[in-house]
Amino acid sequence: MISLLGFSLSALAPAALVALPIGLATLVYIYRARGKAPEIVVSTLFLLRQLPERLTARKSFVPPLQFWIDLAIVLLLALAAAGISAIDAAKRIAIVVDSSLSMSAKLPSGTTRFADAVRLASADASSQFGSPRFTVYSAANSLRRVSEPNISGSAAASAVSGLSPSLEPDRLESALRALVAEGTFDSVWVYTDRPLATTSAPTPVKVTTIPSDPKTASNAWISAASSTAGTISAEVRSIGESSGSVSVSGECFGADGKPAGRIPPVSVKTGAASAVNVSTVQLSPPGAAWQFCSIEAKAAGDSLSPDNEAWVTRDSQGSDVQVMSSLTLRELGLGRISGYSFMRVESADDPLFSRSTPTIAHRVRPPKLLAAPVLSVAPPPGSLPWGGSVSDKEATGLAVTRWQPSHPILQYANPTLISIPRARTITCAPGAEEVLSSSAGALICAGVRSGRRYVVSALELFPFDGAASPTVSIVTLNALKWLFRGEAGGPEAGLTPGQALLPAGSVGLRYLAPALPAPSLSAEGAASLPSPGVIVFSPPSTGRPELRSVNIHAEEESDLSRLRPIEPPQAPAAQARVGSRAPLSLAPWLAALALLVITLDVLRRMRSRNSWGAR
Amino acid sequence: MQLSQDTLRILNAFAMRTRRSFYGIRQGSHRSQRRGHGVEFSDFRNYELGDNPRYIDWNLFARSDKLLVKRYLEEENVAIYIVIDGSRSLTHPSLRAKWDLATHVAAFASYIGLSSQDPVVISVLGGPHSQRFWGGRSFGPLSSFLRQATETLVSPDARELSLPEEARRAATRVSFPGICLVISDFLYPVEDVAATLAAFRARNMEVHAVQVLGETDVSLESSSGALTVSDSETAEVRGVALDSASSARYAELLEDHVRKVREHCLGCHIKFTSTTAAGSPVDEGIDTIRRMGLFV
Repeated sequence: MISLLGFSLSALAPAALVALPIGLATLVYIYRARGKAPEIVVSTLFLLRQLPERLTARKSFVPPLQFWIDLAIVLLLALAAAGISAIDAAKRIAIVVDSSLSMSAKLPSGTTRFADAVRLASADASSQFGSPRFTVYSAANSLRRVSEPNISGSAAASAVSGLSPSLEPDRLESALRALVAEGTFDSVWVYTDRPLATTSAPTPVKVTTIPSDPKTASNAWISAASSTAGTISAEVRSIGESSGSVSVSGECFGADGKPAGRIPPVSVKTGAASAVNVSTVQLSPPGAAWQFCSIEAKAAGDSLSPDNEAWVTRDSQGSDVQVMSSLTLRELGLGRISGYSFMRVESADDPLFSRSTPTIAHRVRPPKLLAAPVLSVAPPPGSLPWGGSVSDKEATGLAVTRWQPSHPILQYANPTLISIPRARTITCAPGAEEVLSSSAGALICAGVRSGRRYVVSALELFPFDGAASPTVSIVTLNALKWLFRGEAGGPEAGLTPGQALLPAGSVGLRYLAPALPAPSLSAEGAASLPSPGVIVFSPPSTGRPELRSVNIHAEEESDLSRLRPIEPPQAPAAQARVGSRAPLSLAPWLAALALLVITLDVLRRMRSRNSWGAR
Repeated sequence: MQLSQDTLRILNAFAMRTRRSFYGIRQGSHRSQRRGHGVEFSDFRNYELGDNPRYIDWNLFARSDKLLVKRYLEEENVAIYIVIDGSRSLTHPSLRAKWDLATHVAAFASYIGLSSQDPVVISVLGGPHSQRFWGGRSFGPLSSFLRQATETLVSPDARELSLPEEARRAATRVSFPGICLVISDFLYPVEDVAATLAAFRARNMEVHAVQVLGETDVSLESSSGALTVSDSETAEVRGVALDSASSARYAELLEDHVRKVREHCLGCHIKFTSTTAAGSPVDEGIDTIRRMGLFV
């Protein structure tokens, strides 16, 4: 295999290439013999000596046009006989720019992390030698390709320059794993504010971390907001310089979107700046005519402003979560979890069962795909509705060997302390993340399917030690928070910006506030919500308009003091990478070209013969 | 050499006309320098004892009282010496056409001379010399001599020949001054040409130079734009570029050389005729004989 003009050429029958030197030598011999100066006997050299001499030994070979035509035919036929095929050997690089919320944070220089990432990516793309092909991606909650595949460096730089940050959290690990698993790219360049985890395994991922000091990061954000009995409760968090004092205020609006009054500002003293400070603020909305409010947190030196805003609709109740289990809610310990309202159903055939309600499936087969998040705990053996399967064999004495410390489900948890007396390991569905794994297989898988999150846990997340005083683990709380956050009725009532799933068949979707264009809504209920605010829509079940708040509640993005190293995926086999590029057989084209050259040559000869005859 | 009846008929119409008069060997048809009892009056001289009284012009005696005797021009034959260049530039097998034309010209001139009872001697420079041929019946032996000379000379062996030296050697064989026909291609330096011709002029002969060129002498052509040429005399090989400029340059050089030879001949009162062996030697030979001006 040889490389030529960015292509790797291979031959099915390389022996046929021997015809090339033989044909060339034969042609040169024939044309030299044909073009050799004739030798004649002359009477005397007396006069010829006065002509310029041309030494016969040094006579150069000046091939005529016909020689080149014949040589081209021999060359094309030999290459066609050799079965030449070409593979584009140009280096293929994926440029992934992290466009998550944290990338909008300001740097001391005045620019944002995202602007620096775009600048670095553009410079790298336009300064590469060897004409690599680039494909530009934007990564946040999902991976989006923003350019045509395999474009030039300058086009890639142009595509990168056109990127804009989003308000979504990032899922870089799964995005990179999917990209590397494709085997299409020789290298994946990531521009993010997250560092690369130390690894010795070869990886095609090159991470460029935007320099930022987490110790000096400063941010205040609203991590939760809810309305209960006419009052508004907001959870405010802060880090760094912003931790000193946070002022929370707001404005309320009526059902028609007209202002109904302002919420008096409340100042919160949060505490030390060395850790994340959490404060809950009770706000007093004006009067009784309001239907939704906009809350804003202000702090000095705030680096990230989009998460300072939250929207809350009036009288949002606790979360409606249906629990499919043979145990009672009390036995499961769910009754001790505040902020959620749990409802027990026997099975999917229960008349109270709703396909659009967040669901916990405990030791039962999870129902078919729902339009709501699902937490499946200790599912029985067999395949799962999101893909993947549960092992038939129950393993005992498992030890946690691998986990993703940055995943929200494992926040504040030490996986090494988790004891696993027995469990059926899981095979995660393609695209899902292995949050927790043992040597026998995955223990917790988390993923997104049809815009809805799901968690499958082989562990018993409700390690009740008796109906009298059941306990709930921090992993369970994290899982519930990660799953049901932003879903209907949760403590952080509302949706998160990005792709969100509403009840199928909903109509009349629009932004009530702020004044934004109506988002698109598919028949399956997938809505594209680009910005925080309050939306209104009519679900098919009631037909009445409902208000729903859209908020940014991504703590991993707002907490700028947290370093979340990226676990790079391992490089696939080189053979698999090359094999993913289909070779283009050039033999038919070469043969056709040879035929064309022969035809043109014949026409040329016929034309010259006719013109000679005319003379 | 067999000549057809048509060729003989054409040749029979020719007669040799000399510009000068020579002393002949026998009675012939050419005006001789010898005074005697011919038909055409020449001049008078004083009567001397022993003169036949019949030749005294009595009318003149009556007017001038002097005894004068009439003298008449004698008509005698004229010796014809035919000298053929026997060098490889004519006898090389590849240049056979030139030799054929040269021998045909020599044969035609010999035939015309023999027909008028003129003695003919043929010398091949670098080759054999013939005896003196007499009378019309001698054309057969003369043809045999030419054929034998051809068989001897036309071989692929290369050899160098000094034509002036050979010419001086051949000139020593001349017994009676007469017509000298030098047949050569004259493709050698003009000084040597002059020396060759001067050897015969020194013998008080009326010299006629006939230049026989071959087709390759006149024009060199090659489709490949180059030519490897071999000297017929020295076998020296030389590569020659033959583009249009070189071909034009060669034609110019040849024309200049022929012009110089012609001018030399004109200055020495030598009749110069040039011909090219491009077709039938018979036709070319007759045409050459006609253009020489010696035969009318």
